Amino acid sequence: MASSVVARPQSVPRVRGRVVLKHLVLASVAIVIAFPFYWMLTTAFKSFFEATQFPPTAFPHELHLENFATAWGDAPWAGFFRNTLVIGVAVTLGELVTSVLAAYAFARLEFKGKGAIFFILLATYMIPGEATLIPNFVLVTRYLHMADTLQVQIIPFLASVFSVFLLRQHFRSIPNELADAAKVDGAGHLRFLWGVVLPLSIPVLVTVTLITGLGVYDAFQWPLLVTNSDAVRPVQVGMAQFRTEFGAQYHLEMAAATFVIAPVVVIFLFAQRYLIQGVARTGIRG
Amino acid sequence: MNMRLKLAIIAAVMVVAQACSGAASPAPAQSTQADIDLSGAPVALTLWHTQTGANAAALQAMVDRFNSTNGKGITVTLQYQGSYTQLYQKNLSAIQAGALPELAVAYESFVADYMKADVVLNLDPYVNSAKNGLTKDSQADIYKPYYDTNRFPQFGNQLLSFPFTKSLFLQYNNEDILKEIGKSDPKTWDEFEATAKAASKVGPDGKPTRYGWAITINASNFNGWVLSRGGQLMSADQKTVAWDQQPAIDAVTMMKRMIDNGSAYVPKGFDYQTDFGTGKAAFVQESSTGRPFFVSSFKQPINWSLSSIPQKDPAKAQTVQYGANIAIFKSTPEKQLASWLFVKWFSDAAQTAEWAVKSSYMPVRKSAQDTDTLKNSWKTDVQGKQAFDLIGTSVPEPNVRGQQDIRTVIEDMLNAVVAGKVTDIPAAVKAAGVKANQILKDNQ
Repeated sequence: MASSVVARPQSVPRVRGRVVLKHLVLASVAIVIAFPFYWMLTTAFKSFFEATQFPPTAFPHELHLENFATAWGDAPWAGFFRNTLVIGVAVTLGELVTSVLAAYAFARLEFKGKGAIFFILLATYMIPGEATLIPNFVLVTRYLHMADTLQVQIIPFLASVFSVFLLRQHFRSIPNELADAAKVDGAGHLRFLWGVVLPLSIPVLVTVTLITGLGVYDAFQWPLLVTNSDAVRPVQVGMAQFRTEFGAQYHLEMAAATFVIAPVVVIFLFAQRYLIQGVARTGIRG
Repeated sequence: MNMRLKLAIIAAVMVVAQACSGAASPAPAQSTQADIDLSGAPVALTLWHTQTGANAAALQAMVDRFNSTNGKGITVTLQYQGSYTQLYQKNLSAIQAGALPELAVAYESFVADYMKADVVLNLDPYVNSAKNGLTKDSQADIYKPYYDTNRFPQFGNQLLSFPFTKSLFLQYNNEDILKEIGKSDPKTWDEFEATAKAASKVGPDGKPTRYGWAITINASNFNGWVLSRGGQLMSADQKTVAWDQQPAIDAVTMMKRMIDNGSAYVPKGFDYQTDFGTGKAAFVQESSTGRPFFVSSFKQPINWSLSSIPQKDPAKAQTVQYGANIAIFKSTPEKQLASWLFVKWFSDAAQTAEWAVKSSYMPVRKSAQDTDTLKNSWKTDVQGKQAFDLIGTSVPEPNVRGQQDIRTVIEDMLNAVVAGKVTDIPAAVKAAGVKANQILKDNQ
């Protein structure tokens, strides 16, 4: 009789136990992530007294919708949002163009010193932003005279090593056969990039767009440093004006936080599929 | 006598006269830059500040009025620059970039750091200018502690900034609780500790339901505790700290003892305001400027008062002076003078009274109390008057280089004690003093 090793099927209760455990862990993580949003939303609708009550109430006893109107009226939000939109669109488009071209060159072209240049680029990514903050401020203020403009919040961010790296990793995964076929058809590099590579890279491009856009949306330190007037400031700097030295209006702060965060949540809900695909395809892990 | 000899004698007389007139106090010598006339040509000034919300709106309204009425072509533009720390960091960056504004709100410790680059204007010639300065009476009208805090012994006792948003460290008393327990506002620390204990309550489950004292931890409050116990903050030569002595040890020990016996606690964030209003705490020691924020957190009206923090000797009460000042950065003679004229205008009795009412900061002039603005305000803001009457007890905090970092050392020590990470309080205070002295040494 031939001996054979047959894997014993796992018992149903054991499998179910693992599934339950997995879901418990996932649910716990989801609660931890969702809790600040829950707190923000519920506080945004509470009165001042309910917002500062301890122990806190789980849900508002009364819905104070006027908190949103009050918060909106307390700062020039329309201008802040407009500035953020202009900066966000300009930086994202600009960064996409420079990153796609650079990534394509590093992924598919052969030129002298490619490895060294890419290494140097990656090395600059390792330098913490805080270390270059003051030199950059001096550069744009003293030499480029760009302080307190929208441009100073756009131009320094038109190239991103991270985006180049992310796109290069993906472009390298595109089969050479496609490039050869395009070449046979008479396509040059730009044609191949536009007609073949980019359509195959939609999830990664969306990922780069989201990461860049979110980065711009969340930017605080640089805009605060290089701008002086509300006319060119973005939303996060506007949020800071809600804090006072001697007291906090939590309900208004949370109402403002809600409408500041809302566009990001909406965009993420629409684009999350691409974001997950993009991250998965490039092998980047958070 | 030939001409050379005459000149030599005149020069010698001038040197001797100069030497004789040189006193410890700053020379009231007139600067030609402080005495110039503005031609009426436009002078644009930028003021970096930290005010938000209603304060920012009030400040803007006053600046707009100055711009439209000064008659010298001066236009001040206000620019919000975040919190005090962010403003400080931005100014340090702006010094590097040569992009400083003409004026900035600044704590004394900030000014000391800016002086590393020698960018801050000495205001003595402007204050003393016969043409553009303040008369002797006008100078005397401004509280002396406000001058003291803006004079920097480390930099030749120059007046490097001018009072702007001043306040003082006081005690908020919940009079309803005091009435309930049959006590009055404590005058000494021993009375305070006993009263706080009497005010404390414990629920059926053994947990505290009411505390005597909601403690707010920060370096300025610590300095106030030291001063009120007869201690000093700095040595006479300003080279070492003097707060690392018995008054500080007593203050921190009492704080820890009260936390341990349940008569005091450390609330989070601004919770002390609502806790005070809801009767969870009988006493809070905080800035006088917090008044409107306390009031807005009262769900039901309560009876409350502001008084001096407890003292070792109530007859010689001392507390710490809070608040920021305005520094003028060196620029052109016209901009410097225009900046001074704005600062001078803002400190006039009418303006300082208006700013005090709108912002809850303290007026910088004694004569402000005679204005209708303040008299009317004090009819409802009774505690504002109580605070005003105590301005004379406020003592400046150190304004030496490195003080900003020393504040962190103090707060780290206090937090370690509160968290129970440190049990040997005398050693902790001494160790903090050693660290602070090293910071001072590194910043000489």
